Amino acid sequence: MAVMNPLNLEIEIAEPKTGMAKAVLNELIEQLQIFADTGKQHIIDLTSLPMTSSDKHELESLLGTGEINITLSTIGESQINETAFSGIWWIKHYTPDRKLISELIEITDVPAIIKSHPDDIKHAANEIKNIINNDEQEIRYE
Amino acid sequence: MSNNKQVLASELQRHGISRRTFLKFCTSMASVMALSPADAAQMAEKLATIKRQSVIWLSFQECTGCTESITRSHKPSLESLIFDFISLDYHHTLQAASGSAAEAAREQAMHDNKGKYILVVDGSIPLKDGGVYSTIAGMTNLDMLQQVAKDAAAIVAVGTCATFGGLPKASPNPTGAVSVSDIIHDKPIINIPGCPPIPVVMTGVLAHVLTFGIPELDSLKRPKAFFGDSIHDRCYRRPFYDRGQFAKSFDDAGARKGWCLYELGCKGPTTHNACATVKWNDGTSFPIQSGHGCIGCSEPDFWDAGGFYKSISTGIGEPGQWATGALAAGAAAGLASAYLNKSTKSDAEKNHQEVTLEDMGAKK
Ligand code: SF4
Ligand code: SF4
Repeated sequence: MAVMNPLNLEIEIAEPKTGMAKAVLNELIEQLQIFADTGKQHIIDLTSLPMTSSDKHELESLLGTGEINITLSTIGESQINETAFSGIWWIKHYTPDRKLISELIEITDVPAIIKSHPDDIKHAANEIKNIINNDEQEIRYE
Repeated sequence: MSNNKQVLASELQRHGISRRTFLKFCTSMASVMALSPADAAQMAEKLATIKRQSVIWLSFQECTGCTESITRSHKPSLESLIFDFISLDYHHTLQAASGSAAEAAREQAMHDNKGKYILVVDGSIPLKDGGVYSTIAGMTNLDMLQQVAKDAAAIVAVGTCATFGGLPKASPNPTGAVSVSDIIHDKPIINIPGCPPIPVVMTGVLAHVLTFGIPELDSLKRPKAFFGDSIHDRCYRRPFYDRGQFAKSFDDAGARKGWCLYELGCKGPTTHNACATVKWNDGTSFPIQSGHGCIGCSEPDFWDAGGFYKSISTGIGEPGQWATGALAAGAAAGLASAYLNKSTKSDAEKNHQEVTLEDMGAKK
């Protein structure tokens, strides 16, 4: 963790490992098996767990990186990555100035936030008609 | 005036905010509220269909810090959008109108939304000498509170002054200050203490009232979602506490290594608030992260609780005893997140509640 002191020097405060990474991993092992057997999804909210940055690094390197990395660009970015283990997704939501506002691990096939919302689809279905109308007008003016 | 038929979803669309963005917002909100992450989707769906809500805000014996906190919460954001979406019909610090026009706006809003408006109060109410110590437009705070509360659907008391009397009530309480719930007994009251309260807690509670109704409250009428955990429950220095590693002064080697501030007077174990997860100033930091203990500002009578730098008495067993066991048990059972989940952390909870403010005072 980087902290600013009054002299504006960056000081690194070492945050030791606390064992939380292994604890979360145990939960993932159990829940991924349940998901494989029954299809029951599970979410762990890392934001509210007392994990140090070292704990998170430890867990991240244990889970590794998978085949899919999705960037969501909306009022700040979100990073939605499948880990090396299919069905375990690591999700980070950032604010526009790149502060992490929430961090989740989802056990699911596709995280809900990736899907288009029916309301947005309806809205888009109207919007797209406007595009073609505008386009036709432009052609006529030419 | 606002269009009362408007739902939030169309407002979102008008601002070009996709439902995906909104879900992202609700996800962080759910995390703040210690709701299960799965509730986020449901909350997003419900919140999108809410209608404009009339709000009357009364400021009594206060320092305007609460209003500052809430209005300075974030840059234009989804939270402020929610805040904009409610119809703030009267707030004498924020509204453009003043004097009799302002009071007329209040009476109009009370009339138009009779029985349906939400009353927000910041500041305590002085009762001594007929309430002369704080008046608005010639009316005592007591009279105004009773008048506006009468037709409110619910009351939200914001800040430690409105919720528990706060600094004005600190000994010797020269104005005879009391809290909202000392006066009003026949309306649902939600207390959001803090000096000041955390901005997102305020928006979160409003969001909750608008979607799921009045949230579950504890015995001090605080929403359990935000105040169910103590600072200590969620403190990132907790592993040091569990291992018995304490800073003994603010500049010793332990302090520099980020050890627990318990012995330097941290009130985290007896203070219920969301600072450790939500943090302050746009999520930058919170007192403990900046090297200072929690002063317990969201608890009743915190100012008179025996000194900010005095260590609280250990009614919770020797530091480093029970929690390590619970963590180890949780790890073994594969329930790391459940360990801190509000519904399952019963043992920890019980242990914490044994330490009361009297215990803090007892060490004076
Ligand atoms: S006593 Fe204070 S600093 Fe120590 S773990 Fe608890 S809340 Fe954090
Ligand atoms: S850390 Fe403690 S003193 Fe500071 S704002 Fe939070 S509750 Fe109040």
